[in-house]
Amino acid sequence: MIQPVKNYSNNIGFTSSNKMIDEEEIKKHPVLIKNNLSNRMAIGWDKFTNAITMYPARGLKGSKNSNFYEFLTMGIIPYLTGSLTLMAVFNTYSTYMPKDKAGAAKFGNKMALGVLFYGLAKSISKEFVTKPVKWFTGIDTEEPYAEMKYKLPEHINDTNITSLEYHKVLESLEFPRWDVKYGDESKGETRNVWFDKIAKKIGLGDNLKDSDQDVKPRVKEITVKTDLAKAFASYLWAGVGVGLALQNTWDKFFEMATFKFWKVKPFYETVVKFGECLWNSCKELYRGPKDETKYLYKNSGKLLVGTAALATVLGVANALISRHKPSKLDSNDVIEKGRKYVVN
Amino acid sequence: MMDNFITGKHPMFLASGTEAKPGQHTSDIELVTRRKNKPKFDVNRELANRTFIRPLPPKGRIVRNSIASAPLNFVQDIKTDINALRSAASGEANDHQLGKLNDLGMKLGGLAIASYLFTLKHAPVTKAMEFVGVGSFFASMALWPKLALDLPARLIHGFSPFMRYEDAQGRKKGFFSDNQFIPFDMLTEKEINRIGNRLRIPTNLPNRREAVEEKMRQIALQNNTMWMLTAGFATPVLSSLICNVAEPYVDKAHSFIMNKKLDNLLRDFSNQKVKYATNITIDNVNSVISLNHDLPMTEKLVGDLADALASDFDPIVRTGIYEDLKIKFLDNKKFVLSDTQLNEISNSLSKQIKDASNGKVLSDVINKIIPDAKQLNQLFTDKGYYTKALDSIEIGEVISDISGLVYQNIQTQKASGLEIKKNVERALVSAVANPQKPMNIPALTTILSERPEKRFDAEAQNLIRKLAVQMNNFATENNALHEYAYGKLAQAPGTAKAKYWNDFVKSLANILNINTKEIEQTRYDRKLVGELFNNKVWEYATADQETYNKFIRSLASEIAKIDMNVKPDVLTGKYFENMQDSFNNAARQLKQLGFDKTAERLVGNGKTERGSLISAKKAFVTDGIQNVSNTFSSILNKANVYRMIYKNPDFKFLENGTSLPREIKEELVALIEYLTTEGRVSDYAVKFDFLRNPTPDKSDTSALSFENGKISYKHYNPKKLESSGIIIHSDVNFFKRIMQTLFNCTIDNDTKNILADFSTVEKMLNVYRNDMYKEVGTLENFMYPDAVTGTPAYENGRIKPESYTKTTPKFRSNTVGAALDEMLSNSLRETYNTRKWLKTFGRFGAGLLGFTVLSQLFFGHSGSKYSEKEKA
Repeated sequence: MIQPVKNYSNNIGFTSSNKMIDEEEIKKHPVLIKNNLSNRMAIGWDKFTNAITMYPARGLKGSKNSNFYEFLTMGIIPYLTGSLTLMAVFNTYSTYMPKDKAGAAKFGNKMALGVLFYGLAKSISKEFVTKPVKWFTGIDTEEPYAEMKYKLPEHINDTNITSLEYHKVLESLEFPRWDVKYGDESKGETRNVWFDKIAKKIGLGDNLKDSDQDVKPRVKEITVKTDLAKAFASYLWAGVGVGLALQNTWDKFFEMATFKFWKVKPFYETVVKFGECLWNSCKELYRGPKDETKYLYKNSGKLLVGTAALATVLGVANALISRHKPSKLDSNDVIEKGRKYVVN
Repeated sequence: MMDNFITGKHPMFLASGTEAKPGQHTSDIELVTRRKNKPKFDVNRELANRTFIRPLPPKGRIVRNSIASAPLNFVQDIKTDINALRSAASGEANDHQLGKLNDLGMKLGGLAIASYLFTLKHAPVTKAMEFVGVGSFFASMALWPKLALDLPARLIHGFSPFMRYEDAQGRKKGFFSDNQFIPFDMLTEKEINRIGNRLRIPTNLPNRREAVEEKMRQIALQNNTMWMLTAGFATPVLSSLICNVAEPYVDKAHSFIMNKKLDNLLRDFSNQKVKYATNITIDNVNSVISLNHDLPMTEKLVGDLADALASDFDPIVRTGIYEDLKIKFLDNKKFVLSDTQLNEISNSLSKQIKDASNGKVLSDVINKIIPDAKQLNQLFTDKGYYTKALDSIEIGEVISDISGLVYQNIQTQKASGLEIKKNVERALVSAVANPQKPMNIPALTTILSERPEKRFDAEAQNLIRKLAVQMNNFATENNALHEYAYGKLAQAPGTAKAKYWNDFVKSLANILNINTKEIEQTRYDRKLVGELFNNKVWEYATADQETYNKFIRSLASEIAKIDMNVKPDVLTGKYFENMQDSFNNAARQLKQLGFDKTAERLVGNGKTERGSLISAKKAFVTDGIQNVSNTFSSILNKANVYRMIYKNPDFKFLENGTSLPREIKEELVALIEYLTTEGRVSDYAVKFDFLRNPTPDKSDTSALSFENGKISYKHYNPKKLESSGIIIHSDVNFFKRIMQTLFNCTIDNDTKNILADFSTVEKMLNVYRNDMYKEVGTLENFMYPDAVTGTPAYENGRIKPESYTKTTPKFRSNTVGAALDEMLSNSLRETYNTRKWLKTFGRFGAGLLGFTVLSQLFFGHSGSKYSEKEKA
């Protein structure tokens, strides 16, 4: 017996209240969420808490309600545990180096920093691609929305049968959620308000009869190309992150760094030193090893940064150059008005 | 797409742009029924009415991988990746292809990191390991679910939770990836029943297929979740373990490839050397020529030419070239003057005279007495200095004439009322020839001598070009020869010598039978390692013949591996021959061009090679071999000496040895123990700071005794000697006996018999013993160490042959070799660290694997049970 739905907030991890979403709206239809840092962090936190608690519990039980979204969300677990294990692997090395503990510890610290920078650079660098695409085309390929999913009750008393999922509008190119991008006529918006805006921005013109039909293939194309650029550039920038962490300047940082934030002065000095070393590591990576004479080795840092930058620029440029030209035919020329069509 | 359309997972859209809400029907579409096949395909009709569209017949299939199909699958996967990349670049990729791109991006990023790290590392093996690391990481990512989850699941449940299927579009996907969309229809009844039997689903269950599918779904989901939970821990650890296991093989492979390459280089030297061809010399010389075409041949230009010609050589060769060029171009010291130098001369004069006036003469007056360019021009023209080459005497005359001009100007100023003291006047005039303060601009003499008569004309350029070609050709051969010697003997990671050294040192723990516990107890302290080493050698030396022979054989067979990679015979044979030919040929050609001093720098002066480049090259080889050979031979020698002492405890191998007091015998053995364990070259230089009893018990001349596989000291007590012992440097006989015992006694028969099978090792041991006894351990060395170890005298930059002694500090150091306790200590620590690391992470990995595998036993048991009624 399916009993009345109580609420949804008790099964979205540790978030007690969700200011991003109107609780009434989400029960009726998917809700768009503004793509800003605080919302992204809130979504990330929500997904993370679920990924380490509810989703694995459901998965290990073999629940019918465990779905592909949950499986993908759990991908963060190996990412985090893998990073921590990598740090442990590199730092455990120092234990077995009685004669040169300091040297081994330095290496371990740098590699741990490398793991951290890898993740940070990978996350931040996605914006190097998605932001320019948004500026030039108005298309935010990362725009999130929330959707309430109804599950099967696990047992007879299970009334908690909703689950909140966070997706991206253009997450699936085969099934983009165009529905959330149409305007709400009850609120006085025109139906194609977003498509009109995008059409104008990407040069398809104003006052199009069916701007959504004109814009959709272009949005798909731009999203595919942006995803391609993002996939390649973000991993290359992640490589740059590792490169930065391996520079010698960090030795000075690890000599004095403290994480005891309650000791204000040493912690403040640590933060300042971190900034200084980060800047110096950029210079060191760019200039290459001091005593290196081989051209390739001397310039390998430049090459690493250059490759990442080039992949980003080329990727963005490719996303902005369209294959689809606006059709010269009017819809009147190809559509018989008296007939109804099914299209996908 | 059609599948999803049917399942209603995604919204439908109508042609008008109106979006269909879930549940909305499109029943107003006109249906056209096809009654029979049309003879002709009417495209307009088909397009106008799309209701003929039906789901395609199912084309999906389970992907069944086998080892035989692995290469084909691999190629197909690459093809899929390339297609995905191509589609995405043109903006047409589907979701499946975009997923592939993320994997590609991750691999590309991994390669970028490995490539960058490759450039930071210096040793070839560590460079290669960067790529092995990335490869092993991705391999671990793929291997872990297969090994820890898939394989046990197949064995226990009879199906693979990670099996894949290929959909109608040829896209390969995980069969159980989406827990709510599993294409079970691809499995036949037979397969389902087989799995059902393994899962112990009752055979008489109604809707058995459904029950089997549900159980499979559950198990697969549990496996997928377990994969997510364990992969993060497993991948880095598995990857590290793979790297640890792979490293020796990478090292071996590198060594094999490098030695093949080097051996081939020497075997086919005339053809292979072109690979090391360089144009640096010719390019640099051409650059100097183009910048100095027809300019005066100054010392600076000669220096620049010498630098360019010696681009590929050391400063010694450069000095030879410079000396030869000076003889050719600068010996005829004649200079020419030019009217372009007048202002510079005037400025220099101004500075010299102002310095000389020391503030006693006003500067405007000085300006008036300094000859200006016009006066100087008049002087040079009148005297004809522009039209002839001037030697140093004539340059002096020019300066004298300029002094005359200054004097004349002073007189003119004096005539117009200027008062100037005689001594100041003299100082001003004499300052023309001799500046009184250091000049920050060129002095007059320098300016007048800066335009030699000899110019860098076509003839000179031609000679330099010929020389450049010869030096360039020689550099090519020299580079090729260097490559060979460096690859074999350099103190650098990855060379044949480094590998030989590392392999031998690593094998020592096994040869000496040092167990893990002993390593753990001693690894922190070099002294403890030395003691352990000493005791182990005693154990073998005092063992039965078979055990001792086995020990010597394993030691000798490891040392003999020098012939496999380093190949000393080839280095001192074929390599030296090639080098001699190359150097002699270059020297002959240089002499033909009149560059005798350069030739001498290459091959010596005909009487001796010492101080020449070829001598340095040969020394690199001999020193490189000597150091490693003697270090390893010293272990063999230690074992041999211990064996001999054990077999002759009365010291009869020494002259009057049997009559020696036992305490002296024991002191001799104690010092031998020290020298053969932790002895360094400095111990020989300080005549052994060894504490002895100044009043030994001479009444006891008995033989030594042994207990529990080691010597038993009756009198010698190092602890007691710490307070009462003294260092007796003057005991020449003690020194002689030590040297005699260590290096000059007959080699023990047991040792000799084994070494008969290892001629190289026998030779190495003999060379070591001979050098130690005759050079390092001579009486002169003991009596007058300063004279022997003193640096040989030099004359004109070369060692005076008569002052040369073989026992240079370098020779002594190479002969004594490395301290064995230190060598073994480093090796044991490394062994311990490696074992400990492998043990720690191996245990962790094994624990994780066990936990993951065992978890399989609990999968598929949650959820509904089948009631007796259902079973019935």
